Amino acid sequence: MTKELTYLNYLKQDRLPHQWCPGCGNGIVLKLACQAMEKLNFLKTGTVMVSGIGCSGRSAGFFDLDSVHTAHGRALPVAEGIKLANEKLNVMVISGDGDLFGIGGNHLLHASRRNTDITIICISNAIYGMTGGQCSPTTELSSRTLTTPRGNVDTPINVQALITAHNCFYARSTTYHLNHALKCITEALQHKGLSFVEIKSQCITNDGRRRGFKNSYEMLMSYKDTYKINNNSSVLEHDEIGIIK
Amino acid sequence: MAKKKGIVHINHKRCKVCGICVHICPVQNYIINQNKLKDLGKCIACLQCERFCPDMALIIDTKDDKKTPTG
Repeated sequence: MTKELTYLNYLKQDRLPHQWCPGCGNGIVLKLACQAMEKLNFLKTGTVMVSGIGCSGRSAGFFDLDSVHTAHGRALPVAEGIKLANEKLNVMVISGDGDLFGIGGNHLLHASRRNTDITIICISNAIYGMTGGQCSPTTELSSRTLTTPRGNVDTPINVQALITAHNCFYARSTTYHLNHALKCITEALQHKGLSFVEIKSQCITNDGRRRGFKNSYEMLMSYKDTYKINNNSSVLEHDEIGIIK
Repeated sequence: MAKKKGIVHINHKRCKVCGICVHICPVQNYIINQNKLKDLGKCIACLQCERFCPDMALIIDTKDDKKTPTG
């Protein structure tokens, strides 16, 4: 008899396979969100999933929950509105870095100021993946993309300082550190007030191949080598992952 | 010590042959043959591939040698 993965009941399984590229990290984050919801016994009727535009914006359609696919960059105002209209709902936002920091940067600033009780999961692949791999606000210094063929000259946005300036929950993790990422999402869902989880994810099709990676496994292993877990500090360095409350 | 064994179920409708499981498997259980994923029956049920698979295509059944009668 085959074992059944019970956390997949939060997904519309007849819609699988999803349309993301082979080796994309979005599927791993989708699974992690389902596992966290199963761990906390979330009801399907009391949870709302909101997403923006982009590769990761498609994820709201896969959940077997009430979900909204909003306009570009406007996932946070819609999520706040849902939470204010009905306080009993658990509101989650899954979106990408281009959507949250690039187009919707101002909304992120003001959402952290208002401190509404929503959970934001940001799949940060450091690129505008859907449109062909242009340089995004989170692209690392001297990283090669479609629009910066000789290396990026601008420093990436400091999301940690932006969120923690208003004493909100901030956590950073990667798709390689599965247990750590699951812990981050579970604690973020339990936190009262705005909680932000940034998950570094791999995009092999538009980002990795220009930076010299052969497959998505090599990108996963680069996260293992680069990032170290730090649980005790109140400020995370650029190569550390952890939780700040 | 009883050796754990696993039975691999591959959902070929969902699998996109990204190759993460081929590299992450500690006993080299998977190969890609003619653009299709195949398992060689060496699974030790560590569940790494099941957790890392982005397409939810792999399910591993764990079988413990302790519970099966010997001889």
